[in-house]
Amino acid sequence: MKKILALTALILSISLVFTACGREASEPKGTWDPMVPSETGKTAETGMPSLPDLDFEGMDFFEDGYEIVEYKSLSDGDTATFVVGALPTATRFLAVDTPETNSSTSGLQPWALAAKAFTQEKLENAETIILEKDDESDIWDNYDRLLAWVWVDGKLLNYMLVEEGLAYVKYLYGDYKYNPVMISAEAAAQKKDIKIWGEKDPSYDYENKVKEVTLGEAREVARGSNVKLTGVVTARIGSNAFIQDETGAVYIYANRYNYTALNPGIRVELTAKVTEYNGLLELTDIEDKKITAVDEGIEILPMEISLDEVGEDIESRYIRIDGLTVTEVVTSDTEKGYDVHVTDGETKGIIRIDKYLNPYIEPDFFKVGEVIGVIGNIGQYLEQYQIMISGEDDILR
Amino acid sequence: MKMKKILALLLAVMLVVSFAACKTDSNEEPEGTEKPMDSMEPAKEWPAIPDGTVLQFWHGMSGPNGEAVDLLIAKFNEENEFGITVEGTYQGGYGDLHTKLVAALQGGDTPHIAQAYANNIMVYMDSEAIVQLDEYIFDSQVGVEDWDDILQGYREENSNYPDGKFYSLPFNKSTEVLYYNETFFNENNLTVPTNWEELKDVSMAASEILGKPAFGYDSLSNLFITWTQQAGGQYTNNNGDVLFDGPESREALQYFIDGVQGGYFRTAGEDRYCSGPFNDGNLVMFIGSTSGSAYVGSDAFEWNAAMVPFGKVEKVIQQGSNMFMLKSNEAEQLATFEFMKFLMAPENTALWAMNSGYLPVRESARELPEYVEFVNSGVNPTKDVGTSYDGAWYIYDPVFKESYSVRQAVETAVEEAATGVKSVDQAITDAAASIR
Repeated sequence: MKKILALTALILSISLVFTACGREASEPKGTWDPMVPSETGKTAETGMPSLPDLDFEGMDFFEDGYEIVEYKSLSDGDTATFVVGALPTATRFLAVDTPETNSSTSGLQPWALAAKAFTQEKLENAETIILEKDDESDIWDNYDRLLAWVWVDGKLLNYMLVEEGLAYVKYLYGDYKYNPVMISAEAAAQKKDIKIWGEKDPSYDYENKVKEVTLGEAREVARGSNVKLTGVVTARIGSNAFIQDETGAVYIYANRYNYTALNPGIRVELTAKVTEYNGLLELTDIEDKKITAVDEGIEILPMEISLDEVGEDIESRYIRIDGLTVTEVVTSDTEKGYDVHVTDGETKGIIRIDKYLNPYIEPDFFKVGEVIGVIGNIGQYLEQYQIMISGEDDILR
Repeated sequence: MKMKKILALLLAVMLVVSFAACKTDSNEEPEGTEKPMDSMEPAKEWPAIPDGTVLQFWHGMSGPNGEAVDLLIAKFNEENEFGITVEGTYQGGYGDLHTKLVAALQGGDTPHIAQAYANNIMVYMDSEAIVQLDEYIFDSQVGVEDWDDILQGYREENSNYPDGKFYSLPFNKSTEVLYYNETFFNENNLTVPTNWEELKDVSMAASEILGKPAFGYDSLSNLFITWTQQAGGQYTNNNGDVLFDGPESREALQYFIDGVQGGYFRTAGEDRYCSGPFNDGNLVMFIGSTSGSAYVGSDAFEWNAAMVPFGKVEKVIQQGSNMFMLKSNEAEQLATFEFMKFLMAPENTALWAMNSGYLPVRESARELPEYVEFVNSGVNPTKDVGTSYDGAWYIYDPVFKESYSVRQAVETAVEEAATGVKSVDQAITDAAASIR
């Protein structure tokens, strides 16, 4: 009996030694509550979540938290435009990030096109698409895109993208409804090393040799291609600029760097990456941060067009439109740039005042009801083409 | 009776053994951060690291910094003598990385090593899944070589936990420098300011030429934290007590606000970062992070970087995050520590600095020929300045869970004073009250 007692004491004290030193290989983890506001201590959940058994017919996204929507178009793997409450609305899928088709540093990224194709296939073939609002998330992001969970025929698209290894779980700014399952799905994809987590994208040009192209050709190459080209600067917007040749025009995104050659009338030469930013074709990632002026003092004349000609065919072109009536000046609380709505009586259009304009043009420069002419370049933001001006002189009164 | 005595003796022996075994876990305060190896203690028996050990490393580095992480991982996998393979996974920015670590600690698979800010590591510590590193760092066999070579400020931050022990090690570290338009300075015979008085004088002179404020400060919370301490004051301690509600912070903030009202200092404001107006020539000096140097530049002028101007005391902020170890088994933990040592080795931390937006964590890395050559090439002037600061000048946010909300409170105080919403005194009083 006493021997047993001694043995028990021995075992007990040995286990005490180990517990006191905290050196056990695996600690229980399931019960820990970190007490941070953004997490409520949910334990890990796995598997595709499901929609509640409700009649979604007639529901309103903003009022009821759900809405059956119509699919309009796609920007990339994680952003699409749906008709929400009768309005076409750019929608960013909550809590995911697919590789970029237009990254400012690397242009097209591996798996970006695969992610876009995956989303496109799901949305185009969907019978019912339902957007779900998350109470823990902002409704709009900083780019005025709606933030939502996207249900395609009862399956959560946000989840499917992660499960397929086509999206990162990202931007978890709150304790969103499906965070636990999203994180689990991502962990599973990481473990399998699929697609973005370790596979080579077979359609991606990892070498990406520089091609010499005209601006018209630059508009047609695969996004992410490295190109060498030349063109005349037609306008400068902040540190960015539009350039043009006989075949086409394109926007140069300078990423805050100040290139002195990017001024109107200068013919420039550069090597850069062709990317797309919310629909606008851009040259980014300028090689060696070098843009060379090869000629200057070139006269540039705007192409005279009417408002109904504004579109992809003349994107980035230097244009002039007369006889426009200002109908509204739409400013935003979150962003310095703003839109001036105009009409020629038949077609509506937008003049875009970029936040980086230097000098900046205050909104009260525009008066509703006045008739103006405008000189500018055709820009694009998602579905919307717009006339981007570079200064007060571009408004003709 | 005899049996009881034996039992008592046995228990006493066990107790002694248990204390000895726990010695490295005791609550004794370390003497500074330089701890001599205890030669009286028998050498610890470390397990062998099995060949083929695979370690998971979660980080938040993307773009060029992510590529630099991959470069170091590949180098370690190639070079290490234990056959360890590290698999790095980018888990999103710091916020997403934090959320995923919390989720993993609540029941998922945890990595072996991860990157985090110290205040978040405090959160993870509650889960008891974090490895205290002193017994590794100071061990005579597996410990860190030339420990004091790691910058003092970094050693202090990573042991600024409640028990004074190390739960993390420095990883991606940056600091602030004074960026200036060298062409403008040369053309106008201006001298780069080295202290507050000179900063005021040069800013006034340059502002007169420019017709607008000449100097800006990117991070207003850094402004408050750094300048308060440069004025001889304190910020907080690691209990989260407010120590800034005194005359020094008021002197520091008043100095800045005088400049704003006098038209020679400004905040980034709507430009968000001072590099925008700086590149456009609308600003000729600003204090900003070394990690932002990729966004600085114009072919209209040459720019350069210098040490930040100091007040009464030489203090400069260290930023960036650290790495910490999660519990696994003894062999994997030892393997993880080998990887941590690798990342901090002079040649590797130098390689990291040359390929990322960050600085070496060791004094000696700054002397390595390849690093000196890199710095002298002038590719990035901030690297030279960043490594010129004395390691003892570095200040950091004292480590406690809510340190970030204190940061936000003092940033608000600077904004309110700069926009004239509140007086300097009121802004600081309110910030202090909001925390208490």
